[in-house]
Amino acid sequence: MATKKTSLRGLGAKFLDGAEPLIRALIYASGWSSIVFVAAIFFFIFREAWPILPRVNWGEFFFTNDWVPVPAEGNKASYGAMSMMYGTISVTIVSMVIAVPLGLGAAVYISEFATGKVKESFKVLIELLAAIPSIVWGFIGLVVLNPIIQDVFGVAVGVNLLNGSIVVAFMAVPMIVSISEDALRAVPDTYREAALALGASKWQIVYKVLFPAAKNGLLAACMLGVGRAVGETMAVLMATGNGMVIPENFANPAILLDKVRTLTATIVSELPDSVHGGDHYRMLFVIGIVLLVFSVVINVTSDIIVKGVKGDQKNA
Amino acid sequence: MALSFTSCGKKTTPTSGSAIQINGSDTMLQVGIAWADAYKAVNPDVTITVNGEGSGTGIAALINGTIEISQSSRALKPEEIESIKASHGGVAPVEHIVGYDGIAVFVHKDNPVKSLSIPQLKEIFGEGGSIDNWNQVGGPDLKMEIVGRNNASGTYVFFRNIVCGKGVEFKNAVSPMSGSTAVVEFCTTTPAAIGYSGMGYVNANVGLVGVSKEDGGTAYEPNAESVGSGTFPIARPLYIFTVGEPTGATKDYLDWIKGPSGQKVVEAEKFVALPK
Amino acid sequence: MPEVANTTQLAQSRFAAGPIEQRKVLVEGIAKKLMLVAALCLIVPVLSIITYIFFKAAPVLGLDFLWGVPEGGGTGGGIWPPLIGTFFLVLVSLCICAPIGIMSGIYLNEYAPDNWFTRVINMAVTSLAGVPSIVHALFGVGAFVLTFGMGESLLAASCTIAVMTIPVLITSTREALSAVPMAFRQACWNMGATKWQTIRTIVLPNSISGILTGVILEVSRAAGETAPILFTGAAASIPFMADSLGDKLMPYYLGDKFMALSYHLKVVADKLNDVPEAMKYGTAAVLIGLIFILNSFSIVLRMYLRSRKKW
Repeated sequence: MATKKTSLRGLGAKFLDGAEPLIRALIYASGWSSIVFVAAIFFFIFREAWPILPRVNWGEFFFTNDWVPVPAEGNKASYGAMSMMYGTISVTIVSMVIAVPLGLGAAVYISEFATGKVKESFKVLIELLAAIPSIVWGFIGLVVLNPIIQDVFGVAVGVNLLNGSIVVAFMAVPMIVSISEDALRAVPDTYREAALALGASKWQIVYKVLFPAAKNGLLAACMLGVGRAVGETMAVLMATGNGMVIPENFANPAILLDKVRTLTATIVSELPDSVHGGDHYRMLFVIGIVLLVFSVVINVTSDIIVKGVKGDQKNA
Repeated sequence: MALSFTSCGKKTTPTSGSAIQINGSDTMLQVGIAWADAYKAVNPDVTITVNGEGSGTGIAALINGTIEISQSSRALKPEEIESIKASHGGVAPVEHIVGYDGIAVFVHKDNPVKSLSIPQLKEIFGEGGSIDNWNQVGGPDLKMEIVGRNNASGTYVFFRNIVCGKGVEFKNAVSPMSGSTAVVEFCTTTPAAIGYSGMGYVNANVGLVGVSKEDGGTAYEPNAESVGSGTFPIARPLYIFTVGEPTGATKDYLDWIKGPSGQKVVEAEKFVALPK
Repeated sequence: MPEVANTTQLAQSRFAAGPIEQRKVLVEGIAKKLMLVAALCLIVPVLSIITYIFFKAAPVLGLDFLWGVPEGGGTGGGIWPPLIGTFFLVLVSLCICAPIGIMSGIYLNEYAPDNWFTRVINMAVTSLAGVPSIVHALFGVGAFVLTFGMGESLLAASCTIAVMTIPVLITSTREALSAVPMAFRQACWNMGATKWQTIRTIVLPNSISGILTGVILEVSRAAGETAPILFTGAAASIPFMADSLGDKLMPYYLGDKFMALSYHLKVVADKLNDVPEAMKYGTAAVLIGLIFILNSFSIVLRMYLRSRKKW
């Protein structure tokens, strides 16, 4: 029995060894596939948007605020996306204001202060936090946070910039924590030991030694958080209230309680209603291009910040 | 390629019973599901898939030939009719009216305002309109929170054309919500809210205002009587489109929808049935 | 014991903390507490909200709910069709992206030369991971649904999800492989083994748990996504025969539209009228539960892997 098994296994091994050229070809092809996928994404999104690209009035798109894809009789359609850009930018900024301190604080605590079981449980919990799907966050924003915000702030509408930003902050934070933690861990222990020998306290080490040493990694973590916030879709659709007004006074903190609409929410809610192949449909793909280009730029930049232009793939 | 992919679907092969794919209007999602659910008892061999993200998707799917029935809360546009003809060898789409809908104007349940006229609604929703506080229409001193459907939906276009007339768009202050239910939910939880969506989405927790054609005219709430007699000013048909006259299972299903049992479902879903 | 106390006292008197030292200790204490508060701020509200969701869902949670079919699109009944739909979606997408993702990870860790081209591949992986889900959805519509003629179907949605989740697998495979010490490979090469023989007999067996972790993470990601399946094949309602076992176990073929748990949550929370609260919370609770179970698997697997590691 045993000999038969080995011989069978031997046969299998022979086959697998013999197939080495084929397997190597497959591995190479798969290895290069990511480039193909990114190129394909660009290709197909540009292709759907292509017919309208020469006709897009970019001034109107970026700097006016009337998004009227199906105009009233006698009017012309207009595609001013400024209020959605404001929505995306404001959700990103406010959510980062919440997420960056929390994320960095948690990363420092987990990496430098916590030990043993506490450290492990925090890491596991934050990992679970990262796993909560976007649609569940949307549900939390719409059903749970909405009445809380109405009560706490005494406002009429609980789905607003603040609600959406809290939700997005919690979605972006696990990534900020894990990348910052990696960055802190990558600082050699000799740095810590040298500072300790000079009589520095743990906090002084963090503040004066680790932050400067890990600043590229921490910056990249925040940038990826920004990327996540800009691209978030289902949760912001349900939690931001979809207002299309740009506030007049940005210094007034009450704008936190205004409804906003993001670029992503516009695509997801209008694509099904647009006439397939029509101008509106194509303009939604133009918004897709804006999001795609932005996300690639932010990811490549943060990659370069961490690893440099040449990159060291073994330490990736 | 297209053939090989679509033919691997169980629900699309005639051997195991027939299948009807439905897509289209968000307004008609609920009634579409209710029809399909009730039809299960009539003919269990037919599998009916219902989707409802928007009228545009349904028509696009009809153009691509991936569905049999497109539900829509708006009529076909000329370019859509051309596209359907072009992709189906000149066969024109057929329009079936399967019920009627009045677009209800929703407010919070505690809102004392019980009726609004079309000119008032124009001032509330239309660009350059002067009404943005409830005290301008006899309510409390509260800034209005105006919501609606997204800027391309059939409901939006219909409501805007009736309320604002030619050449007037909505204010930017009208927030486009993600669907009919979202509008109703918003009006349920927000004291200052005003919004619109299909009358099928009326429920006990939200307030409804009557709508009159002119200032001082009689206001009607959308119901079977006012929509059926045409006195409710913002009423429209609910459509089903097929490519050419339907045949086989699709025809049976459509006949059933237009028949007494199907129309009973329309009433149960709080829309208005076809006149008998 | 008194001796220790004496020594401490001695130390305190002789090396009494000056004002600078005192401030240092104070700042240290505050900083540590602040960091802890930051970490707790992330965990505590979320755990309470999730507990709240499960609490609200309690009235419906049960076998009838899991195994039942929705009535009226989700206003009553159970959630089996979307649940099994999510299972099929995950399965098909995994079949597509597991081979590509794992081999891509092998390429990047074992074969890729250290040059600019590899650098570009790495950037492509990072970019692919960062592309917003709604852009993946647009890509799925343009490529799979329209161009490749798949229509809105399980296959089209699975392909879209597969492209979206490939970076998860690449990254975790690469990490798992790079954890295998170089010496293992060198020993094998010295025996005259080829690169592929080394990978097959030494590297993969030693990293299989890490790769599996990646697979589970892919699965949990795929199960939760909504935007990419919205336009590529998810259906709001497919009425089911509640008593047909065959229909319940094999409800969707590749060319069919399908129901999925994530989209079902959107439908009951945001699209249908008159949905009882417990149904909404129940659907959310099952989705959260499913994803937490999957992630716990991956965490346990990783801990097991770490405890078993001998190098």
